[in-house]
Amino acid sequence: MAKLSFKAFFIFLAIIVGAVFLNKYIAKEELIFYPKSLINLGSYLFTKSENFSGNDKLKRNQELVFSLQAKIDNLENENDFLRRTARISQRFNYPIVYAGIFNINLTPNGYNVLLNKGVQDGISESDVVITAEGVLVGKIQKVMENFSRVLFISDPQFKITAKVINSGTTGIVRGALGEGLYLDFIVQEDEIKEEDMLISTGSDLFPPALVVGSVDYIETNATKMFKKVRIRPAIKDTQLSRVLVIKIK
Amino acid sequence: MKTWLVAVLFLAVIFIDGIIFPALFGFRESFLTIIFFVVLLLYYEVSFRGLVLGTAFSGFAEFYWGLEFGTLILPLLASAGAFFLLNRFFNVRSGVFIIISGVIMFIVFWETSILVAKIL
Repeated sequence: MAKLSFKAFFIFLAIIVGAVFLNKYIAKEELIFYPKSLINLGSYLFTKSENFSGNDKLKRNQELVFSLQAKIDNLENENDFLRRTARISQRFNYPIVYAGIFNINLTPNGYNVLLNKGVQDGISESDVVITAEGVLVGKIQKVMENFSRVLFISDPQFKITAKVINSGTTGIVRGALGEGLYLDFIVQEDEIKEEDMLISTGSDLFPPALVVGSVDYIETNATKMFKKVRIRPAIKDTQLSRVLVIKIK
Repeated sequence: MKTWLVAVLFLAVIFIDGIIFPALFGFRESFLTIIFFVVLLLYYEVSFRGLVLGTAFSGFAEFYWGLEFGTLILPLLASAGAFFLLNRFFNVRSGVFIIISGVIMFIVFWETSILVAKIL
């Protein structure tokens, strides 16, 4: 075997170092020793062999299926909501805006919820918020550019005139936070019993026939002028994800 | 040994080095390939043929692993230089000396490759 002399070795070394230097600093890593087409071919073959099992394709398809499922689910929900609201929206002479609730704040200072519609959707203060079943949720308290705050029916600031269905008994419903609602100004002689349904009268700023709640408890005391009537808000038994905003103004 | 056989051996080494050895024995990637280069140099006793073969194979390995040009070739030449120096001061003929010089060449290769990778 031909022995390599020191001289030959250093010439060889110098050639290699020179080539590396040329590639690094003069050709600016243009990879003159490994042509780009060859690198690309190697990369292509490697990627092909990596994807040979089709894992990536399957993953992409699965993501697409998940995305479609989410879309279908959303459309089904929206369709169901619109079907339920079709009848109720015909009842009012006011324009209606569909909205979604994205936050509920139940603090000791008051109850409010946030809607995903605001000034740019035509919402204004004092508009009434109801569910697809015609249950009263509250009224718009503050409107921002693209969302708004709703004063919840159970908030102490909330008041509405309501009457018992199939009866002339009328009073003012006010919010009582965790206790629900109270129906005020019901004199001892007025006819009212537990489980009676209360609806809005329409004699104030709220449209008529909105479901407010049902009588939960009645305290009768002959020494007092008015009965103490506690109401269970109907909103407690409904879903609150999608609502309707009745544009009063 | 025939050159084509060495080439086949090199391809086998580079293949199992990246897939089988790290998985089964916990070897660091490129560990076996470096041993192959050192053994190649020792086998050819750093002849011109051995050096050209080693350079060609390490160039291919650089391309295969996507390394900068020179990351493996320069350490190979450094370990060949180490063998030259050892040959100059010692009589590297017996088996023990060959093993010791192989270990030294491996260390030189390994450390130089780290250094060259930092420079490049």
